[in-house]
Amino acid sequence: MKNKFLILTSSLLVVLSGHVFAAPESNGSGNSKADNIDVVENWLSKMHQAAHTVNYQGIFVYGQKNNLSSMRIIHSADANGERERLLSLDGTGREVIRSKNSVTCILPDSKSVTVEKNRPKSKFPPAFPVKVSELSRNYTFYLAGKETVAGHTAQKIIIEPKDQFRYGHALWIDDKTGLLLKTHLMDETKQTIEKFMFTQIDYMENIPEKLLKPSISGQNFTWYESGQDKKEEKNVSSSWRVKHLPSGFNADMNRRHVMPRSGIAIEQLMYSDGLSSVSVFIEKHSNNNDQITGDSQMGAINACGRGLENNIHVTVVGEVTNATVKMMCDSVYQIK
Amino acid sequence: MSDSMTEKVNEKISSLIDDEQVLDEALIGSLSNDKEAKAKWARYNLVSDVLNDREHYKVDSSWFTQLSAKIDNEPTILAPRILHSFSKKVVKQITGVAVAATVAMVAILGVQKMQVSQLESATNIASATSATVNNARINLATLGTTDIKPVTLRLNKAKESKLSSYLVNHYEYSMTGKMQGVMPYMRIVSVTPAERIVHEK
Repeated sequence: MKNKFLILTSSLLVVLSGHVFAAPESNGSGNSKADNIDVVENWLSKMHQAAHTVNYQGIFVYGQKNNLSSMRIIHSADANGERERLLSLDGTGREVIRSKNSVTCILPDSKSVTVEKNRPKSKFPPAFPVKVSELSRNYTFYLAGKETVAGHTAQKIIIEPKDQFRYGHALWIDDKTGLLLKTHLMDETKQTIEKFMFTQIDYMENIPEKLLKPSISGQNFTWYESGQDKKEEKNVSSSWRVKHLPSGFNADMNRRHVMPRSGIAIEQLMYSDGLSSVSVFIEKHSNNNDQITGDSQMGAINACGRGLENNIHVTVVGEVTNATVKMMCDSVYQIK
Repeated sequence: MSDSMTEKVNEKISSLIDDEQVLDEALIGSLSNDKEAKAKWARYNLVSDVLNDREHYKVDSSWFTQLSAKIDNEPTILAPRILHSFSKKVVKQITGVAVAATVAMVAILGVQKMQVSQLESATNIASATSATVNNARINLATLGTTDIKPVTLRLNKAKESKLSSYLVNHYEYSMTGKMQGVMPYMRIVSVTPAERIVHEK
């Protein structure tokens, strides 16, 4: 008898976890193909604007594969720019705090704090980066009606890929504020592999300073910092190329910098189809223990790594299907 | 925490779920620091989400009826008031306009077919590792879900750490990061296990 509720809880967790693998709803009924791409572009633009300019705090559930976790997010935007804090309400209480100039990852489970001070410079609010008309070559867009998420009416938009190299997206965008309230990511078999959903959200005029402070002091933690003394080189000439790219993917950016933890110089090549991005990391290493070889996965992130001559290691990482990272990883080469 | 304080926190959590309470600092503190409160928060939310039809998958009505009966008969672990509150919502939904042969809620076919013995087995596992349940996590593999392929193995700490570092650099320049701000970092914050996929030859 004592375990009755646990049975129910377990079954509900199973139910919700199972939902991650459940098929997304059909586009065949009730969803209108967005012939007028301007409508979709307006929604995505509104979502982008809200993500950078709205003051809010909220709690959401994040699910992938067999795991569910709850998190809290605080987002502040004012004349000085954006500040964001994301923290886990489960487990060891990991946190990420992002400000104009740095990203701080607090990892109590490893008693470490990583600070990346090489954030990309951009104006505030940043310009809307998506061109739906160009994306239409590789994705189909659907308006899928209005639904309620965390008590707010949301417009549902489905973005369906036309090949197996990228994920599909279902987005629920707050009708009033434009904030993204819920997403599903679908793999090449149209199964939902990852989702998040706000269970509560509070829009606020101003965010109290204390809500943006980390919950720990970081004393007795090991701190790793980058970007203080080393100069980052961006969009410099690179001798590295990727021979095979999925349709629509183009070189977006490249940079050389030093990783905070290892202190190793690394080259990053970024490719994008305008909606999904893939990073190719190239480093000369002295330690085999932390090299990612073969196929790996972390939520909706796929990674693929392989060693090259002269202790060079290539790792390809992105929110795309395994087929994409593998194809790119296998075709990385250096021009002589 | 004393029993009365625990009860007070539980009441606040349940009121919050029922939209009768705002998220005040004391409650945020409890949810951040008190494992039991966090677990309740997670469970209440899941139950509330399911019963309030915040997801849109169909489940057989008999399964739902059995669930409702079990919740109603559950004596102590959750506050009875909340359970009745949920049950009322259930009744509302069942007698609502669009609910006929099926009730919309989160489900998968496999769960509908799940036998009691499997559930009890899962419960035993969950009881033995209450922290796992408290974190609202459960491993489907332990419940007999067998068609997982290819084989996955957890990456070692050093590789997980490196992948997380790569992700930070990736998000800062990716389209997802540009569109969604800090949200993609949820994969790092959630301690999502990084897994090496081993393809069987």
